[in-house]
Amino acid sequence: MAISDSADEMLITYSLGSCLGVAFYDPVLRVGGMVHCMLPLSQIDNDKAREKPAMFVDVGVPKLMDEMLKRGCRKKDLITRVAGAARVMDSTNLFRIGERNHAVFRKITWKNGMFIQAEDIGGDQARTLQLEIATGRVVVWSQGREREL
Amino acid sequence: MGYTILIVDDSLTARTFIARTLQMAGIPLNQIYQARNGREALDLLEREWVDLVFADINMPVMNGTEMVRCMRAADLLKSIPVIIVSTDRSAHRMAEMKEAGVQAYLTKPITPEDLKTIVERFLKNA
Amino acid sequence: MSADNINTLVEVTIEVLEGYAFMLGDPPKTGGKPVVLADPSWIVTISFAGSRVGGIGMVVSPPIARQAAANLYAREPAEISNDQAQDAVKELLNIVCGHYIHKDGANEAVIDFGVPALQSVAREDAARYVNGKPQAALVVEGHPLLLFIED
Repeated sequence: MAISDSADEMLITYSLGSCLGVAFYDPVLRVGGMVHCMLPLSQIDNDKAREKPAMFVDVGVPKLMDEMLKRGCRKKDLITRVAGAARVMDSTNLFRIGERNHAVFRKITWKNGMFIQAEDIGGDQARTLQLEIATGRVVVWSQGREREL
Repeated sequence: MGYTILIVDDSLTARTFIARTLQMAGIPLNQIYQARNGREALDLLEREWVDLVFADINMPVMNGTEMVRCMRAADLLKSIPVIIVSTDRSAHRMAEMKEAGVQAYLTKPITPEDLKTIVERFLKNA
Repeated sequence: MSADNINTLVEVTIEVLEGYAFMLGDPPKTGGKPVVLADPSWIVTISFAGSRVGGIGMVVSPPIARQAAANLYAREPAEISNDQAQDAVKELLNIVCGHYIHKDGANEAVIDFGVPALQSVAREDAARYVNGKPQAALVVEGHPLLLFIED
């Protein structure tokens, strides 16, 4: 999990498979935040959740949101973009980890009254998610191709 | 002033979902009316002007198909855009509703994002 | 045929739970413990007619229904009334039914859907109701959810 308000910085997270990469950006304060969550629910390992909350969507995403609000961001200003939730590590898709990560994420945005501005999810390819703090521009790389979200 | 929107569905959950999405979307709203079936909707439309109608198809008392046909036959109501939000995904039903004069057909479950996009598209022209 | 249908029903229910109610359901485990229904249980059913005739249903515990409604209304379960919880599971089954009928792109089917019905019954009566019907039990966030098919 990372937050930045330095115009010369970029937040990047690599190797998003079934994991979920979430980028929040406040265009008013030019503050950006990013979290890379691996699993949907923290209840499977409460100790781990305390130690590394960002691992789990249900605690990692609200924590990122809280941290941004503490920096003076307002929920209604946050632009939400998300990438990942693929089926790469689970070809039979028995565990539906990607879909579950996405479902828990959507529950959080809905409960907070936030829309998802753009997303690049599903499929079977790994992704890299990048957020430019100066502009709020978000780019997803996958299989050598770049896509702006 | 804002827009006046009517949501017609026998499910309170479905109506609440649409109403909350409209409120979240920051669309200027004057009023959101709700009706549980086509009959209640037509009764309301006799008294109130609305800019846009969301309607389910499968409802007791009067279904969405009949409601749209009644609206299209009434001079004062025929220009009000109707967006169907239904669980019925059949090509036959979609064609039937298009013929009855609906502007868009969405299948449940819809995401708040899809709903916002379509509402903005229609209200821009309202 | 029934086995195919119940598997389809399990699959679409899990998808709809995730996509609509933001709830995570686990498919039935082979050789798992038999499901213990809640007391009381809510039996929700919907019938359909046309190119396909029959019905599907689910037996849910009131806490699952309350959680589904809380998610959909963006509230806490304690703030949800019985009416809201019952309406939420009826709408959930309604959506599941639409997906179930038109699964695999079978959008040519012309179906008239009934209106979902709900009855609150004792655990034994719920078990009696589904007895002999094709069925499968999911676990949804720790609670049993029994799916069944009526022909």
